[in-house]
Amino acid sequence: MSEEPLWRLTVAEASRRMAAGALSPVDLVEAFLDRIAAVDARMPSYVHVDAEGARAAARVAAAELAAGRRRGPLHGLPYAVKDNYDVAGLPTVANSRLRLDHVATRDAAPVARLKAAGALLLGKLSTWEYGTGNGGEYGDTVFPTTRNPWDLTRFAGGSSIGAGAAVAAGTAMFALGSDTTGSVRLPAAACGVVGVKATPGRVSRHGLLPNCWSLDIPGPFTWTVEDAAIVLGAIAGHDPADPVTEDVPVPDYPRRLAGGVQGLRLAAVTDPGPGFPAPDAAMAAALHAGLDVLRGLGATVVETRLPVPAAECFALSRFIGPPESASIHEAEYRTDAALMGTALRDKMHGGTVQRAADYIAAQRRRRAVAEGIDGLLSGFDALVTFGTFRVAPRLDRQDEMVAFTVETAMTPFNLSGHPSLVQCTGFTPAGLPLSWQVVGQRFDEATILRVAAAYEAATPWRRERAPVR
Amino acid sequence: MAQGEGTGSMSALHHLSVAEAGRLIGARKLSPVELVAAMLDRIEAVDGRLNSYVLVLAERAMRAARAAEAEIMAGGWRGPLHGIPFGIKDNYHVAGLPTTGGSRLMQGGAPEAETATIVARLEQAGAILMGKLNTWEYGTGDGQVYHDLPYPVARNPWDLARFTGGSSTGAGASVAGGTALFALGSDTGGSIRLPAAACGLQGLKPTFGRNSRAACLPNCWSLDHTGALTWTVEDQAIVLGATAGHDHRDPSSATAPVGDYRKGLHEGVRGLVIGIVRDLGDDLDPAMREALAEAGAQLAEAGAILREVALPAPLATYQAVAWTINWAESFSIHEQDFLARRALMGRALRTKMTAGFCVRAVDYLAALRERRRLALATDALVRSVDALLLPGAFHVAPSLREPGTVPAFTRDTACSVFNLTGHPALSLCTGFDAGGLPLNAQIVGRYFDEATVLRVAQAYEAATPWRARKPDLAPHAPEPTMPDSTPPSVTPEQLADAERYATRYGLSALSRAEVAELAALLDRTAAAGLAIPRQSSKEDEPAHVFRVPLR
Repeated sequence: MSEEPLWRLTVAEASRRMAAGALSPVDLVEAFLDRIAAVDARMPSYVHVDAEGARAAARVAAAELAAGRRRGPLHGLPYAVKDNYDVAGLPTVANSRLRLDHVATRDAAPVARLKAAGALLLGKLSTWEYGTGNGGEYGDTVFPTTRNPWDLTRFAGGSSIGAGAAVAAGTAMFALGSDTTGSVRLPAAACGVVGVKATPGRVSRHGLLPNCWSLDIPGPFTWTVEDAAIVLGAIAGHDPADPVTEDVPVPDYPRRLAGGVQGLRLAAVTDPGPGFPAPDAAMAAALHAGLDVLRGLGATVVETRLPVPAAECFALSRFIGPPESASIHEAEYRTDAALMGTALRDKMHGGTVQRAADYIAAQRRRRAVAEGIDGLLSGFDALVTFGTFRVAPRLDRQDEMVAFTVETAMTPFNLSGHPSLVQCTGFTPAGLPLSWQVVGQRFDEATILRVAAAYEAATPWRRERAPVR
Repeated sequence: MAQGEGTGSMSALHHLSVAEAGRLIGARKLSPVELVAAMLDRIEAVDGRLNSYVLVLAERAMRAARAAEAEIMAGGWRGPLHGIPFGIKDNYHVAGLPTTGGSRLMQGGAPEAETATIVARLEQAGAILMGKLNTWEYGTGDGQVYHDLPYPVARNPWDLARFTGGSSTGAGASVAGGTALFALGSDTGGSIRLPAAACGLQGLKPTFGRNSRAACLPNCWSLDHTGALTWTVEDQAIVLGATAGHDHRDPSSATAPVGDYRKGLHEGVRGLVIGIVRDLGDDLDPAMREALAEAGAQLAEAGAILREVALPAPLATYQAVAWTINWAESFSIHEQDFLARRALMGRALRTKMTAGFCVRAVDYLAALRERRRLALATDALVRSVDALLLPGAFHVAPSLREPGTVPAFTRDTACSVFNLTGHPALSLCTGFDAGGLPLNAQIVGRYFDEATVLRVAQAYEAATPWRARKPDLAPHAPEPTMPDSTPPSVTPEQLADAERYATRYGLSALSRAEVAELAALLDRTAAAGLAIPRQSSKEDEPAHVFRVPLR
């Protein structure tokens, strides 16, 4: 075996070694605990490391392997979850002073599925308070903010702030976050990893602290596209406990990765429409270069436009997210608003005074957005566009962090319910990750993974993990 | 054609039940032409004081009658609705005809391009459309009658001084008054069942999704139901059999199979468990309470097992939830008109719009979350029995000469419970009070089990004499008394708050009275919103959450 440290392994490679008996879950967990001990204080990506729990689970996993009972591709592989997922016996603080005493009594559905698949939970990852906020960092919540492992002076993306950093820095082999208007894809973009927001209804939300019922989606963070396919396959599927999950079959995502993009028809949106400042030149250049790569691989790429500009979609989301959040956290807001951090409290203020008429108007307009994007996609296998417009901003630039979070091409697909993923499309000269977004037809995560896998295989961006500098 | 009034005699064609008329037509003992002509005569004779129609389609109906006659004579009888005259509330579209929704805002509108699915299905079954029926403006309001709409208010055939119940005012008046053999209404919080109750009819709000709502003006997407008002329960079975069924044009339409509602209609109630809800507070008229008890006793005598049950939440909770949803969705539907052409709205609609203008999103969401809980808890109750028997409207039809008593008729009901939960609910005539005014109760069944609702109602109807009694129309409708239009009394601070709120949300040029009303409604809607119970878990989500594929 190579001398590569174990924490650098991809899910797929570790899985192969595990299957071959060449890797022990116990050793793998120790490697990650060592990595966490070595670098996490500088980021930090975790709010709670469950070392003993992980070691105990690793011993069980090892015993099962020894007994010839391998549960599947995730058997023995260490991961971590955003601290808005319940894990029985662990606190779900969600970075809120309102939940310091909380201890979960059940596993969130995706955690339960991963447990059944034999994956090993290392701990809970840092998040913005309640998985939301206003884009700013105010340093007034429970845990210190996560820093970007590519440049520790920079933002790691929110709200799943620990998840992107953990995978980029190798403090978790993979991670789960949640996405309301970009909270999986923003940190994935900032940290140069793969982040998947599946179709709503694909992954159960049961056991996640809600942020916005009509937009929330749990999703995986991984280093490679193949890893995303493996993890998504493990967490996807119908769950009677989540009324939004659809009883539709889950494809074998890893098997569907092959095939490339030869003959695929891809829509390209290189102009996200009026209302937002233009994307950074480096981001735009990476998008165009990436489209050339896909053309070179045999895809037909057709330039098109979104039926509703990204800026308008974001504006609409501002009339859906805050009132739903305000409804979710209403009791606490009435009695304990002073315990909330500035970012959450600001959002609650806005959501509480909003009129029903505007909420309903936004949901009605949302239907038009959804039908419009559905119509656009009906002529294509997938769509490629920007994710974020900028690289990760500095943590001392509040305005740039808000702009990073707000000015993106992500919300159209939260509103419309189309699956999308973010992947790394290179690096700036300063070593900051660039990224794009691949969007598919509803319940067709398989095709966006396939497109992303083809791009990844044709480009060199997966060679180096973040230096944690 | 006035002969037979008050006696229920078969000789009055306009008082035939759908079933009777259908049998006569099927047996070629009655011609659709004769029947339609009789109905047109009846309309001509009485509708000047009944005001059931806003548009009578005499020529179209006669044409259809002649075609039906020819078809039947040629051996092409389509079934029990062939040649049967009916009316529709003027919020159903009919291709080629204008829809007014009872509103000044839609006067002089272009002919519609599409026909409402359930109207088309009835015409396909051979029923003959007589015209468009009176309605509260856009099928809604604030419970009061202000006499400021483009059409004079429909009158109750049992006492022309009285209100018909709303919002399907013309539907109630027409079937009771003999200007249609059956009528289509729509029901958001009782708008089919209340006119049925006030006018002594059987009015069915089917399961949510059972009847298509396509090409019917919306009032509140998540609570609107379409359905019929009929003289008899059997007539309901006939009409529902024709209207029910999936419609791809209505995203809320259900795919559940449609049964033959007439098949088990006469099987009786022996062995059925009927939950009776007696206690819904002190507002119920004593005569209603007695009639409910007697209905329970009748059903028990017929072999039903009566079980005393209670709704799982206070009635006031259902009502606060229903009103908050209704205000908010209705406002969203009519927002542009409210902002730009408010002066053309009648006061009842304008007041409701003003309430909707005030509702906060968190209260709307609280209502949708509580709706899910109420629906689940109520469904558990409904599933524990075969049917429920409970009050519908708590009062008999109020007098338009005592306008202070009018809003309570719409306010004090147990109807909106089943708009929230989606269960099928039928308003059943349970007799008459000492003054000869109709009494009512509701029969409620499991989801998509209209068959049992109708079977129970049929057993009661067959065991009681009420269907033999017909209204005797007085020669003149008395002049109504105008309701008090004094603006609510509010403080200068409230007025200033209301002005600021109006300006902030784009509402300008309000009269002083309108500002006063807005000020009062800001308080009232806030109080209603805060009265909605909150869920204990953050995961208890609203009753309808965005999901794909879009439906």
